[in-house]
Amino acid sequence: MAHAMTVPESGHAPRPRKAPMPPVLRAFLWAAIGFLLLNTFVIAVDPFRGHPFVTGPSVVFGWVGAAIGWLLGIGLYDAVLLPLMGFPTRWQERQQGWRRYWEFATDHKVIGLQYMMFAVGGFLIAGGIAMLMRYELMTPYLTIFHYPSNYLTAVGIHGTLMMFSFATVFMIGGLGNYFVPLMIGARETVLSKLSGIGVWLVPVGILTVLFSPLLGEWSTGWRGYEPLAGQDANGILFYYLGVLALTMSSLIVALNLVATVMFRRAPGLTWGRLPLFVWGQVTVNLLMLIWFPEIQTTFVMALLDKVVPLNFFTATGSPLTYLMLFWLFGHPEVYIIAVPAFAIWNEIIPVMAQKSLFGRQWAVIGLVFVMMLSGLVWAHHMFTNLRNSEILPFSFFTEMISIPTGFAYMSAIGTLWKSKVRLNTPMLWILMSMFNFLIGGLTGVFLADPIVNLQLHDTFWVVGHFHYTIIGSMVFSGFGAIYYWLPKLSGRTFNETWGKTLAIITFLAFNLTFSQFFLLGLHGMNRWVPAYPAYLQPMNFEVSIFAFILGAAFLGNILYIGYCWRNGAQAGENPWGAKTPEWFTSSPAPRYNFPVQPEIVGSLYLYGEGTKVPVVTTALGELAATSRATQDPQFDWHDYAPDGGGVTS
Amino acid sequence: MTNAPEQRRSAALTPANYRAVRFSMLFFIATQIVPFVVLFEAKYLYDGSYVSPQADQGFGVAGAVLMALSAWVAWQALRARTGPDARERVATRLKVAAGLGLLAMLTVIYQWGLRYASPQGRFGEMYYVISGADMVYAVVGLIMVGIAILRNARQDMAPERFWTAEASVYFWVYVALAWIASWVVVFLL
Ligand code: HEM
Ligand SMILES: [Cu+2]
Repeated sequence: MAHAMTVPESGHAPRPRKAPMPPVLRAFLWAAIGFLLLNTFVIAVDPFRGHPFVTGPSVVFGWVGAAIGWLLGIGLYDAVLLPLMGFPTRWQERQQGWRRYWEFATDHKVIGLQYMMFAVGGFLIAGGIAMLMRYELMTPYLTIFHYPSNYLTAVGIHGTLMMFSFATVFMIGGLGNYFVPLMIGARETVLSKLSGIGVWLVPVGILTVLFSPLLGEWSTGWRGYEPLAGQDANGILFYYLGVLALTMSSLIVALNLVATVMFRRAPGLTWGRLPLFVWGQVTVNLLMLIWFPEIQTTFVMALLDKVVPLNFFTATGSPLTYLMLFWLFGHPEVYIIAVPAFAIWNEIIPVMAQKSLFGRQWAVIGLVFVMMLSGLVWAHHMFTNLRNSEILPFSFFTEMISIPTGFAYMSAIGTLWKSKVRLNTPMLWILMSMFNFLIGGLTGVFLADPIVNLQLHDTFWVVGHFHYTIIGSMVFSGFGAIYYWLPKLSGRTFNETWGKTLAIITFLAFNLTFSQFFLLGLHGMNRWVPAYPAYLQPMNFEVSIFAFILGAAFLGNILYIGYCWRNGAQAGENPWGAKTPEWFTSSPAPRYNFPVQPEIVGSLYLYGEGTKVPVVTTALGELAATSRATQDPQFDWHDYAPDGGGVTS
Repeated sequence: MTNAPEQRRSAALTPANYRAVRFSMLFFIATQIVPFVVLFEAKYLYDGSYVSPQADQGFGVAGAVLMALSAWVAWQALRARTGPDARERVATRLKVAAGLGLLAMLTVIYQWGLRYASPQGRFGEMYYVISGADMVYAVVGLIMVGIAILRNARQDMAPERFWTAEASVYFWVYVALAWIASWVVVFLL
C-alpha cells in the first residue's frame, strides 16, 4: 500500500540557502512576542489593573505566552507541529557539530547532554549565589544584602535552582536520558520528540527563578511557604512559574524513560537482569509521575491565592494544608535525588572491584522500598506544627526508612569485602559519597527524634544535614559517574593524579565546611537569618572560607572535566572492564547507539572465573520494539496492524 | 535526500512503537488524575459537601451532559476509522465532538459571567478553581482534537498516521470524565 508513503513529510523540502535564524535567538524573539501579546491583553481587559504595565495577573499570563513562544521558536513549531498537522516542514535534524546542542534534537544522547549542560549552568548560578550568602554570613550584620528580605530571596533562589534545576535535572534528565537507553540496549527512546522539546523548559525555569527579584523579593525559601508568601511582593509568582516549568520538564523525562524501559529493552534483558542504574531511574520516575502533578496543582492553587486573590492558604484558609501538600511531594523529591545515587554506587563498585555484586536483589528491593516509604514520612518536616500523637507515626516511619537505605550500603560493602578494588578517581568519589551520605543519614536519625527535632528545627544543624545528604549523595556520585562515564561520553579519559587530587580537595573542603554547620546549629545559629549574635562570628567566618574553597573545587572539577572532554588521552572501548551494554558500542555511541541490536545473554554483574560476556551483538534484525521502518524499505504498517492486519504479537 | 528514510521514520509508527506511545499516553493521562484528586480533597477540606443555593443546577447538568455526549461522539470517531469513507466519517465525528465541547465550555463561561458565587467565599473559590481546571484541560484537549482534524484533512487514514487522532480522543475522553467528576463534586456532593 504505497499510499502510506505519499504523505507530505516524506518528501521534505531542501534546506533553504539562506541560513535561518539560530533557533535560540528565534525562541527568545518569539518568547518576547508571546509575553507582550498576553501581558498587553490582560492589562487591556483587567478591570482592576491600576497603573503599571506589568501587574501580577498580567505577568502570569505574559509568562505563559513567553513560555509557549519560546518552545514554538525552539522547534515545537516546525519540527513537531507542522508534521503533526500534515504540513511540509523544512526542519531537518543536525547530525553533528556543536550547534545541535543549541537546537531541538531527538537523539537521547544530545538531549541528555543538553540536560547536563543546563543543569551545570543552574549549579554554577546557584553555587555563585551560595558564595554570596556565605560572604554575607562572614559578618554578624548586613553587608552585601541591604535588607533581610534580599538575603532570603538569595537563599530561596539558591535552594530552588539547586533542587529543581540541578539535582533532579542532572541525575534524571541528564544521566538518565543519556545512559538508560544505552544500558538497556535500545536504539532510541519512545517519546524522542516530546523529550527534545521538554529539555528546553529547563532554561525557561532557570531564567524565571533567577529573574524573580525583578518582581520583588520573596522570603519563603525553596518551599514557597504559605501564608508567608502572602506578605511578599510578586517575586514569588516567578518562583511558582519557574518551578512549574522545571517540574514539567522532569515529568516528561520520567514518562519517556518509563516507556522506554517498558518497551525498548534488548532481547534477553529481563527485569531480573535490568542494570541497577536503570532500576534506580525507573523507581524515581514513578515517584515523579505521582508527586510532580501533585506539587504542580498545589503551586497553581498558591498562585491563584496570590493573584486573584483567593484564601486557600492564608490565615483564614488552611496554611497547614500548604505545608502538607508541599512535603507530600518534598520528601519523595529528596529520594528522587538520592536513589539514583545509590544505584550509581552499586553500578560502579562491582566494576572497579571486578567482583560480582553482592545481594543484587536486595539492592533492588532496597531502592523500591525506599521509594514506597518515602511517601509516608512527609510530616517530619513539620514536627513543630503537629501534636504529639501525630508526630509519632512519622517519626517511626522516618527511622524505618534507614533500613532499605541500609540495603544499598550492604550490597556496596558486601561487594567491596575482600576485593582488590581499584582505587581510581570514580571509585574514590563513590566511597566519599557513601561516607558523606552516612553522615547525612545519621544526623537525620537525630532529627527524626521528636524531642531533639524541636530543639534543632530551624538551625544550621538541619542545613548541615540536608547538604550532607544531597551533596553527599548526588553531587559526589554525580562526579563519580561523570568520571566513570567520561570515556563513554567523549571517547577520552582523564589523568588519575589530577582526578584524585581534585576529588580529595573537594572532599576535604566539603567536610570542613558542612561538618561545622552541625556545630553552628548546636551553638544556636538559625537558618534564614543574615544577621546573628556576635559570638557566632569566628566560626561562621572560617566556615565561609572553606565554603569558598569548596566552590572553587567544584568549579575546578567542572573545568577539568571539560578540558579532558576535548583534550584528554584517547580511552579504550571499555577501559574499566564493565559488563553493562553501554560499553558494547563505540564511544561516543553512534546516532542509533548500536550498529546491530545487542542481545543480553547473562547477568551484567557477575565477575570472576567462568563468567561469560553478557552482551552479544550478533542478534539478527531488531527487537520488535525498535522501529522497523528504518531498516526495511518495504515496511508497511498494514502487515502488522494490531486489529486484523495479519500479525498478532 | 540521504535523509528520506529518517524523515519517514519520524512520522510512521510500527506496531510496537504504537503500543509504546499508547502506553505513554494512557500513563500520562493516569498521572493527570492526581491534580483532580488534590482539588477534590481541597473542596472537601474547605467546604465539605456544601453546595451554594445560588449555583445553577440546570447549567451544571447541561455542561456535564454535553461533555458526555462529546466524549461519546469522539469515541465513535475511533470506531469509524475503517471502511470506504472513513476519512469523512472520522472528520465529522471529531468536529461534532469539538463543537459539543465548545458548547459545554460556553455554559461554564456563561455561569462565570453570572457571578453567583464570590471567589472570596468557600464555595466560590473551589467552584472557580475546579471549573477553571476543567476549562484548562478542555482547551488543551480541543487543541489536540483540532490538530487531529487538521491532520486528518491532509492525510490518508493509514493506521500508523491515525495515532494522532486516537491520542486526542483518549485525552478528550479523559477531559470529559474529569469534567463529569467535577460536576458531581461541585454541584451534587
Ligand atoms: C557549593 C556549596 C554550597 C554551599 C556553600 C551552600 C550553602 C548554603 C547555605 C549557607 C544555605 C542557607 C542557609 C540559611 O538558611 O541561611 C543553603 C541552603 C540550601 N541549599 Fe545550599 N549550599 C551549597 C550547595 C548546595 C547544593 C549542591 C544543593 C542541592 C543540590 C543545595 C541545596 C540547598 C537547599 C535546598 C537549601 C535550602 C534553601 C531554603 O532554606 O529554602 N545547596 N545552602
Ligand atoms: Cu523528609
